[in-house]
Amino acid sequence: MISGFVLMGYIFMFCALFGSVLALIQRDLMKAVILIGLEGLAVAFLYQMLRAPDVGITQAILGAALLPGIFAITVYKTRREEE
Amino acid sequence: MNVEDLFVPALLVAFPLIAAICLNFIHGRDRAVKGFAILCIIIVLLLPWITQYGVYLFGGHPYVDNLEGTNIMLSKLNLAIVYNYGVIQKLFIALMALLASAAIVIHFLEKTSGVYAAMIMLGIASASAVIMADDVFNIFVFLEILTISQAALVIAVGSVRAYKTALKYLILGGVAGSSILLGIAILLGKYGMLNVSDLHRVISLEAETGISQALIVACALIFLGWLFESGMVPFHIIKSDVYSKARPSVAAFMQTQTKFILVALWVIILRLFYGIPTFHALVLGVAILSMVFGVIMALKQTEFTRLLAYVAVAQAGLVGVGLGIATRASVSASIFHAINDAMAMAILFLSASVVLQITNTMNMRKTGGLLWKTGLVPLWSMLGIFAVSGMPPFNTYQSEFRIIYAASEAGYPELTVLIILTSIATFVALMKGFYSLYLKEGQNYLKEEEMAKATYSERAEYLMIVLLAICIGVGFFPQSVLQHVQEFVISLGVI
Amino acid sequence: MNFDALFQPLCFLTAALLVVIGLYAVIFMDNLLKKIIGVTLISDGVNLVLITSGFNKIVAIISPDMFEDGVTSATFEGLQEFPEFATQAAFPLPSALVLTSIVISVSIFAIMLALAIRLYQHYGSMSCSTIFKEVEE
Repeated sequence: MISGFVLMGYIFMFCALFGSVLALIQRDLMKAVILIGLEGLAVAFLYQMLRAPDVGITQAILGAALLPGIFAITVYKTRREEE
Repeated sequence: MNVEDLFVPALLVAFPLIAAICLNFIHGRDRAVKGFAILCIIIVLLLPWITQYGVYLFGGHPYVDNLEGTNIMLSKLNLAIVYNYGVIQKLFIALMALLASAAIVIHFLEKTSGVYAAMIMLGIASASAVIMADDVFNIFVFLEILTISQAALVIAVGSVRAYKTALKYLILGGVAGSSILLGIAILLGKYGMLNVSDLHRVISLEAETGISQALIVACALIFLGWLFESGMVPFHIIKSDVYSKARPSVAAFMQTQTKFILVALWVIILRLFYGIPTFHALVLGVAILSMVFGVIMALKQTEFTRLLAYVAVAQAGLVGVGLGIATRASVSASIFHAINDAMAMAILFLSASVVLQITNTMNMRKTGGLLWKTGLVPLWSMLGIFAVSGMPPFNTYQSEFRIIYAASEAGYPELTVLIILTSIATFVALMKGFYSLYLKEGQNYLKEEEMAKATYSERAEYLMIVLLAICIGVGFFPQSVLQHVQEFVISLGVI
Repeated sequence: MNFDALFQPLCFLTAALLVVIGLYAVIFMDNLLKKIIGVTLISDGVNLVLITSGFNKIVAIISPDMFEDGVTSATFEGLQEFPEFATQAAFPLPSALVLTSIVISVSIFAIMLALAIRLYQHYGSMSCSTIFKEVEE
């Protein structure tokens, strides 16, 4: 009824949405940053499934490793808890 | 291969980009930066005049399609990057290069900074690309680069208020850029090509059977991006913040960029979306609001650069009004007005930079009494105020007169009254600024002996004289520029 | 219900929801970092729209029954001609747009975060109502 490929795709879509909603309602900003990294990784997998592997690699490097990295540096230098 | 064939339009974009990278690299070594910046300025000033006219294209991707009416599959090429270079683009880019060179030269008086010059070069490159481009890919990429360049020039001032403005500008610029990209995505998904001329042909063919809903959504999204980039309502506040927080010499350059990008993006949006029934009314409404709000906010400002910034926004609104009326005469008049008004506002911004050198403050409650301390600069400022308000014999009189005439011809007599009232209000606001800076008493900000030996540099004054001479020259012979503008409008084919 | 054919429409829906969530964060959230996270979500959603619109279910470059062990598609003589491949391949042009967009947005975020750190050092708080309190001078 449903092939494993498409099922994986739906799981990643759900991860992306769920991760982004959770990231925005966190009070601890470091957890929010990690959840955004998770969402970026889910979107990178989604790009690979949509037959664009070059964009997938770029999104995985930039959106799941670099961007959460600089977000984490910002959280470290400012404040960890949202007021 | 002749030597002239080397000067292709892509060089106008590639050379400032490479210059920006090199200037960034040698930042810190003052003499090297100064020498290299002077070299780059000379080349950037020369390039628009020696580049060949024509269409320049590279890149593309193949696609297959049925030959008309048969089953034969044929491999065709979708053009990717196309640059159009004509007289109007030459005028725009040459004027921007002049003001950018002025900004660099005036800034080097206080501090030689390679990064600052690099950001100005980046601004020239991105604005030139948006003006020349005939495909939406180029426009999106270089609009984002323009946002970064303008934000960096505001950050260079170094005060906390400048940081706040830059952060707001970057957030809004990110959202507006994503909006443009979403509009491009809808166009790409529906028609499969990015080239504006091809899209125009395909949309015209499709419009015979009715306007599709996807096209209206794409128009709304790209229109929102256009509103942000040209500083119309509701983004007029952030744009005028950016002009006022940056240094006045570079604000002269930035407001030129904004006016020309307003015209260039409107031409592209027109060729894509002219079939939508309420398009011209929308442009007209937004432009009238920007004009009125800009002038009203200018009247109540207490800081001189903010006053000038709001007047610049109001003049951009006036250009938009001419574009929104959408007859041939009004569109050519408003493109002419964009060129004239960029020069006139630059005169006033340069006078503000002279005042800033002496007094270090722009607060109109604190300044005063500079009439005899700044040489002939008050005279040039007064002439500049006449130029911005549209008085004869300046070029802005010719262009505003033609916009008013075209408005009454097209059947909008109320607009005529509104434009005249805006001109009067602009004049009042600028005279209030002139009075607060030069005529009134009040020098509590500097002690007597400091005032006696405060000097200013002549560089800005020379440029003001040059711009005034060009304004008066074009004012006496408007047809020399106007005929090229009219040919450009006829070649659009849509109006 | 044919879940396989729903893949592309549901990808569009995910992208649209990402844009909406990001827009909500930019407008309504108070913390500066969450506003910047919202801009990240908007650009992620728009990039996903672009790539999804170029998706095409590729059957195969070589059909499976013609595949033998040790044969790569480069040496196989039965490789389909270019026009037939082009009608079945995913559209390559959105990839170029998205690559440029991702890279430019990373540089914009780097500048935004540096400014946020600097503003925190001056104001001592990351709340937007404190930082952007409008003071008319």
